[in-house]
Amino acid sequence: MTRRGSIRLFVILSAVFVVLIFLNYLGRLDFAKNFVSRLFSDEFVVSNDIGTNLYRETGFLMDKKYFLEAYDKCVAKSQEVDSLKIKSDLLVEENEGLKKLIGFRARTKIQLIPAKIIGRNFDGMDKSVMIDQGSLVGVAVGQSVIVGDGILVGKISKTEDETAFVRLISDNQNKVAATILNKDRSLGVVEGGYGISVRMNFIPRNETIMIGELVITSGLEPNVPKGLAIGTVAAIENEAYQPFQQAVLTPSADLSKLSTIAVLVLN
Amino acid sequence: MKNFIKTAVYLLITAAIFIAHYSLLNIFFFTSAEYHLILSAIVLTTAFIRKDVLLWLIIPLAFFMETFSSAPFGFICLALLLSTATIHWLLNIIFTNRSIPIIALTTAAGICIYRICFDFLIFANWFLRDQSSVFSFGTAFFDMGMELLITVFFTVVFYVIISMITRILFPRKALIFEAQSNSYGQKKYF
Repeated sequence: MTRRGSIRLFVILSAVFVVLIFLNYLGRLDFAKNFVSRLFSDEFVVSNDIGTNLYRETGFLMDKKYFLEAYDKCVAKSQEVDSLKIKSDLLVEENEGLKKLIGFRARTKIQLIPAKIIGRNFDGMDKSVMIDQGSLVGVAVGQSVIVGDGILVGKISKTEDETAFVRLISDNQNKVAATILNKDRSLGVVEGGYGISVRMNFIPRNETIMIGELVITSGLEPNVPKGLAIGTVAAIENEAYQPFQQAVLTPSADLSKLSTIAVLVLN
Repeated sequence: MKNFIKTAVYLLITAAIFIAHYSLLNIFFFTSAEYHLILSAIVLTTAFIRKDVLLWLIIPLAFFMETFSSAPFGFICLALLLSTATIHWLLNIIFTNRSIPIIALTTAAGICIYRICFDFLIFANWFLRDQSSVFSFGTAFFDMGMELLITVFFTVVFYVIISMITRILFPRKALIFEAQSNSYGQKKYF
């Protein structure tokens, strides 16, 4: 088409648009506009849904400030979730420990003072923990401290009004009269000071000990009732020149992971 | 009958272009990068099909756009008419050959004319009606720049693709087209 033809066409198009605008202001195009709206609205609803979903998924990438805020919120939420999980795990652990202690209490009728570990001291040879109950509630030096369903972990070594120190069985100053659950019911003394393991000394040489046998308290000393689990025999040392044999024990409780314990109060 | 079918087909294509344009706007509503598919289609149509009769299709296109626009009726019509006239004038009278720079330049000019005209009308409408507005020239220019870049890029991409397809599927037509395009002996790219 020539240049003149093109100009003529655009003049006609302009005239058509003017007519359209005029008709619109008279309201004569409402029917056509409604028809077009109805015709396309379904497609646009679909595309709008797609856009909305896309924005939900990726919209934060378009706005740096929003992205950083969202990131900070995510980090804060993640930390909060972690914190709650830790609290939840601790409560579950504490709950299980308390349930076992209640079971022990029901079985033995021994009075218990539940306590929580509030401090640890594993430096050097001194292996003790601080608990949140003291002499005001009846905690006294020499009392047995158990965990779970009657597992001996140590004895009270020092008390304050509201706190006390528990000397663990792995401490080198701790000595507990014990019995091996073998056919001879061998007696001996469990001593600490050998790292994470403990030893049972003064076992008569003529008595037979098997690896894996359970060692419990013998009840031959005050404040320590009979039948508290101490550990299992992991190794036996029976030298010909020694008057007694020794047994290396693996403690029944993990002494480094204590949280809820109970002090036994014997009448 | 033949003309009726042809018109129906053209109208369907127009509706499809409009649906695609509006759907793209709907899907990527949260980005400032806006691809003006309608102006891109007008540029490509004018570049490949040298028939002025196709310009009639801007009437239904403008009507569809006006129907789904919150701007007063007529603003899009005027902006689209002016930008189409510019595109037509540039491609058929000024730059008679077809190449990537020419297509890019024409698309850019079309977008600029459309956006300036439309934004000016909107601004004038607010000003004359003494309405409070949040119109920001900075934002308007940024949006226009993004729209220009995106539209130019995709128009050029589509131009290259259509050129290649035409050359493979219709080699005779492509030869005639190239001969027409380079009738002034200018450098050709595709």
